Amino acid sequence: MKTNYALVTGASQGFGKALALEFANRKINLLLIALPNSGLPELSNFIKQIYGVDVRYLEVDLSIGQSSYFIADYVNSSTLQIKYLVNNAGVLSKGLFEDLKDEFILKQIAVNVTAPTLLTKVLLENLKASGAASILNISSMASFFFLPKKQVYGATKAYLTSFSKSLRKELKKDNISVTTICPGGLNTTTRLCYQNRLVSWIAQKTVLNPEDAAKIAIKAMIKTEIVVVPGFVNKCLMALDKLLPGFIKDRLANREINKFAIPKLEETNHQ
Amino acid sequence: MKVLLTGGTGYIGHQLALALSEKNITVHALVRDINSSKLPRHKNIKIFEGNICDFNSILKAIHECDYVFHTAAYTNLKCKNIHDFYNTNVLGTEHILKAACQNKVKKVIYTSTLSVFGPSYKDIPISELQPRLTSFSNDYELTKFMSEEKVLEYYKKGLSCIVLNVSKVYGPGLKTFSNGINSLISMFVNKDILVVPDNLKITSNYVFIEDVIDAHILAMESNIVKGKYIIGGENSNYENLFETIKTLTKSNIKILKVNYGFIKTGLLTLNLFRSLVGAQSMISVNILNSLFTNRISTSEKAIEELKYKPTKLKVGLANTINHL
Repeated sequence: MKTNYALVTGASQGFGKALALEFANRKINLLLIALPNSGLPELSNFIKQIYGVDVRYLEVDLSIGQSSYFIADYVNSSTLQIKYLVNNAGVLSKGLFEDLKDEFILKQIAVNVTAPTLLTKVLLENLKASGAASILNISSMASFFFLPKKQVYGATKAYLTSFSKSLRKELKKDNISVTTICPGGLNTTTRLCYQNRLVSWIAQKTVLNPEDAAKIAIKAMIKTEIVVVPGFVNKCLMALDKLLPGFIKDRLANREINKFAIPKLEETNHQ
Repeated sequence: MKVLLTGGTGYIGHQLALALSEKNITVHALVRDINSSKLPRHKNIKIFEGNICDFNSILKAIHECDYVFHTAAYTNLKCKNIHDFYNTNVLGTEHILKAACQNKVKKVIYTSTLSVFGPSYKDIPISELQPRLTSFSNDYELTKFMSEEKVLEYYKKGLSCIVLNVSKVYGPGLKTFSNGINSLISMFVNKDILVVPDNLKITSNYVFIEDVIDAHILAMESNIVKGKYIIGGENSNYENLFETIKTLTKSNIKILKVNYGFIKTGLLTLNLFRSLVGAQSMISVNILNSLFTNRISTSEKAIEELKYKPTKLKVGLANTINHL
């Protein structure tokens, strides 16, 4: 019998790294995907060393369509059984729509929309073969709130949430569950860690450490939940969203969730 | 030869300034307070008033310097305001790197900390290759990590810089936030009873101050132009550390072990009370957690590449006790 693997995209840093560690902690073998030169070989070796699980890795760029086929070829030729597919890789927001470069937008759509869709498609037969498989798609609270500076990002995440919920209904017959997790702010990059320390008290409470969010996400995936918003304050925001009139929601959302409203310190200092 | 040194009134910087000046190197010490009692004094040390947050003051001090020793950092873990950490550790370091680049300095030796790697896992000592797996446990760790990211940026601009990730430093010297072991030794000498958390198997790495100074000088003299080096000494758990200090000081101290969770709850209550009455809070739970994190490490890379020679813990502690 083949041993089971969890495939995690965007695994070299942030939430993807935390998800990989949580799988390893649960003694599940890993196939990690990330960009070249992102420290993936070192991370893979280290996880192997401390958790004693098998860790494979592929350094590919998911903004290129061929990458999904490349991953599927590797999986099939190495006869790996993928039991958990985690579509985590994503390109974050960058600014106002009019300021975004065309190439950036296309790349964001390629990584956030095309890659998870295609990767799910090309791995579907493999997942079916596992008996009971799970797909975990990393979306965002931005798929529920409509925020300036998160136009394309929010829309790609809304796609992912919608795609996951439909797919879940289709794949039930194959015993594959699809879970979507929609985190708010996460302390992933050092820059975000710093920015998250500068916002108001309540906004700081919406921010989670990736390792905590990863525990919640994998637990939800195993319990085959549909959509999960991690964090108490974030759950409250979601509940408020159903109760409050639109104009108040917009103001709250802008103030409390849009961490990109903070001036970009690194670009304004001492030049 | 001339060198710029920051943090001259700090634990490491003070002794490094003296050691360099003894080697007949002219030291430009950039200090915030020229009347500080902690100034290193020597005929080869030239004091420059300034601040690493003030770029122009660095430019004055760095003029004609061949090397830069950047030991200044904001380390007060009791501080709840991230700006103090960020301004000194991130922006200050960037100023130094920028000034070094502009002045074609041969090499910057940057004093960082082992804690940027996070805890050690199982019995695997932290090496320079260990990826960071957990979130940052305090603003000091975060801002020191960010400052090392700045170093990586300046490598691309052609700057030579060696980062020294120093473990827990002990040994004779100025009393600052950075040498808790010295306070611990005084407790063994002066107190009858010491209350400690019961998880004494927690293991850290302890490095003797003179080794740290040597490592800085070795890093300057070496042909190596970039990279990180863990500068540590011996790994020891608290039990062994306490036992060694107790034997060396011939102390009759009674060590009272109290449940770790109980101490944490006690501290939380006490700090809440103190903040209500407006008193400064004592050691925070955050600091306690960072003291009780496994951080075993290896300095193999420094030993091999920099010819670094760490002192045995027993020898270093005996030396420290003689000085105190």
